[in-house]
Amino acid sequence: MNELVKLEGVSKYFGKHAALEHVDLTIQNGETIGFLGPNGSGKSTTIRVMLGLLKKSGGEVKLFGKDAWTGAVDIHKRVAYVPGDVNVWPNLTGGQVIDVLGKLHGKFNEEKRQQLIERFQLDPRKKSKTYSKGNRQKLALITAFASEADLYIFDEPTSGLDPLMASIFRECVRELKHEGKAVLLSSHILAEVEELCDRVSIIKEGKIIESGTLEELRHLTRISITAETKETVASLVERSDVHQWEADGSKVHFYVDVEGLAPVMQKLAAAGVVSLESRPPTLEEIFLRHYESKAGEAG
Amino acid sequence: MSVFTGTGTLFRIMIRKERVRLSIWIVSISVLFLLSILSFPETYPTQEDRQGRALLLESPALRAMAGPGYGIENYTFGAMITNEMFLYVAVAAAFMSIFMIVRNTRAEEESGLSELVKAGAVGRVSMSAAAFLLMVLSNLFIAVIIIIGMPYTIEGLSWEGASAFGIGVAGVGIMFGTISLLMAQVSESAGAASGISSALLGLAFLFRAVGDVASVDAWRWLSPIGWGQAMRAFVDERWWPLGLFGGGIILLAVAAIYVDYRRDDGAGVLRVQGGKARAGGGLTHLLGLQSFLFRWVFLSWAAGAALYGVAMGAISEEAADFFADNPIGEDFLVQAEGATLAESLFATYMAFLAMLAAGYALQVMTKMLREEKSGRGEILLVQSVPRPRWMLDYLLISCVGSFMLLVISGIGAGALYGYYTDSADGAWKVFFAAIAQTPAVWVFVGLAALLMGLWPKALSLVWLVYTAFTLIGLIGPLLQLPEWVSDISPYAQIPGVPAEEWTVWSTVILLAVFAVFTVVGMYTIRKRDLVI
Ligand SMILES: Nc1ncnc2c1ncn2[C@@H]1O[C@H](COP(=O)(O)OP(=O)(O)OP(=O)(O)O)[C@@H](O)[C@H]1O
Ligand SMILES: [Mg+2]
Repeated sequence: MNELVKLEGVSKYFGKHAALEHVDLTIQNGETIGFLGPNGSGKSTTIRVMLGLLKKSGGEVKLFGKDAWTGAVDIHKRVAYVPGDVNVWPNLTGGQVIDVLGKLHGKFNEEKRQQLIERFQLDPRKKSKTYSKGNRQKLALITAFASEADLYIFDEPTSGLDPLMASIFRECVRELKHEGKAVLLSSHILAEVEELCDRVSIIKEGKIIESGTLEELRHLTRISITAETKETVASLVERSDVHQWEADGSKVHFYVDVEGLAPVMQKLAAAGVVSLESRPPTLEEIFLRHYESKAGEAG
Repeated sequence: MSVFTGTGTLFRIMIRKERVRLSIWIVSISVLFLLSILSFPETYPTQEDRQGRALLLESPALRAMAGPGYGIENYTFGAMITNEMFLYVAVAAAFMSIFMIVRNTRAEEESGLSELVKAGAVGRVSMSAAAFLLMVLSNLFIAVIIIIGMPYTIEGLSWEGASAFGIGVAGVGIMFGTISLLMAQVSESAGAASGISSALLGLAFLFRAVGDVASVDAWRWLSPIGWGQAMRAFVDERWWPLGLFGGGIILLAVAAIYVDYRRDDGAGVLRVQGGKARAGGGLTHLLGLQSFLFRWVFLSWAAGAALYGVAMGAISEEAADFFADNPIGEDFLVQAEGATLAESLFATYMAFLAMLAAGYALQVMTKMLREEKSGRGEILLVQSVPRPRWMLDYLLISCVGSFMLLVISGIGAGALYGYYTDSADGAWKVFFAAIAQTPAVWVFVGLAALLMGLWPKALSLVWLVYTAFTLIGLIGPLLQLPEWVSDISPYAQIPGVPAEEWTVWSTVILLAVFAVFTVVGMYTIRKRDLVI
């Protein structure tokens, strides 16, 4: 079986507050999954349930075929995890922290450790308390990348890194992909997700609202149309599958749901189209649409 | 813009921020001191009583813990207060100053707050200057309350003596506040700044102790506390030590301001260069890591336990005599048929020792929750560390550590007592009495483990329980509480050895409670959400 992670109908309550509701998520061997969602939508909570740090309230969570809660210790041996907020022991040096965590984890590659310290330009002799947020994040990243694992989980790993370090992070993830490792990357940086991930899941208010490859996401959603026509096409605005209508003289710009593309195109052709530009939405457009609350969404 | 620009504004902000905390310090130090001397005339009505008390100062051990012994030939209330209390009031003022300074300088820098402030229209050294001003003012406040209060508290205390006392206290306080101002500039962390300053205060205490015990003036002059004592309040006041304070304070303050002017924000001078790049073998297993993290905690408690033990042993004989003359004090002591006064005294000491060891044990156990909350627990646990295994280390460090504290203290007390009384049997009895406290201490550890598993959010309850039982142990006999109240305390389950017979069953019961609590705690910690 090459399904490394399988979440089915997972829910998690903090008291009465539902942080997760019926979350489904799978990660196949060798796959890189992007995990996106606004602040407080449940990304970190999902990851912690997967790691057996939080107990699910319902559903099923399996990693490597084992239950995430009862098999946590065995599962951890095959997982490398970088938390969103890296806190370490202030009086240990960076080098000591990496060694401590790496040795406890077990399969730790000394050679890689040295290389990574150089690549991430970390001074391992400094006490952790003198490190900035980004440098503390590097500690956890170096430990994770130098650990042998089947699944790598990153919770907003680049939130404190400068652009150069973020690009080194992406390089390291590409190497993991090349080795055929599975990666779960929770992030707010769209370009990063776009570049690295094979599939994306978007979570909002504890529910997965979109999931699929980037291609699927693009094509299953709205398409951006800019057109110039001889006759007016103002009647299109009545259609329920046309959104964000903007008209400027004979020029119009709008989004149309994929299902409505064919009839809309016929309409445009009939109106004597002069110029037409259609493109799938950028990832950013998809996200912003999902991130915006329902109320703010037009049509 | 001058380097002092904005000092006034910063000073006002600091007062606002500190008003509650600093008021508590100032009032506690001055008013508690005045209250504590209130009862002296009643306790020592005649000159004869006072001369009796003066005899205590003949003992080296007491002289080390009290004053230099000026004026013991004619032990007036003033001389008594100066000899026995100046030291402690001055040390309290010094601590107040150290913490206040570090809190408002280096700690602010560490949290990044000073960056905001210094980016505004504020001079380079204005923060240091404002903190210094506030520190000086607070100490002067204490001095004024003491100077005004003392002559009213005990009739016949002179204004002149009170002034020497009060100014001496302020001198010591300001001196150490200024030392910590310099330390806050040179070291890179708030912890190091207050640590080094406190260590210097400890050294000052030690130097004057050596000077007082051996009557060697050179040692006394090495210690600012000694300068304050040299003002000889209420005996024959001398004012020239003020010159030493003035010179020292000005020198240190100028140095601190100069360093602050020269360095970068957030940086220090004692930069910790080149720590270890690799973790040695000891660190890379879990118990090794945790022991390493707790080494200073343990060592400082061990130093305290050793001091306490030695002090117990050293003053046991004299203290027994003292209690023989003071029937009121006997309420504090464990009463038992056929026990000598020294044995009763030790039994009481041991109950205090158990509280000390439990304090250490709980500090270790409650750290576990803080690790969990800070995310350091999370990052350890995901390195495939089973949760009970994680808890086991804290249990080991707190149980073994607290047992070692009892052993260390017991050796100190037993050895000295045995030496004084020339009795190996006595030494063993005292030592055994110390380690007999172990199960009572461990019950607290068990309680902490139980809460960690079942109800981590309520872990701080252990401190409440600890404080309650400790208070009951300390003042319960005086409050004449109903017997069952003091009987539920784990401390009360241990017979008052060496005054009373030791019994196996009480130990077994306490250990069983400890074991059940611990096992339930280790079992249930696997069943709950991590506190994040
Ligand atoms: N320990 C907890 N107790 C109570 N509520 C919690 C706890 N942890 C998370 N929550 C709640 O669960 C929801 C999801 O939080 P989570 O941290 O998973 O969000 P996130 O997607 O990681 O957000 P971000 O992008 O800001 O990191 C939030 O509403 C949060 O307030
Ligand atoms: Mg998060």
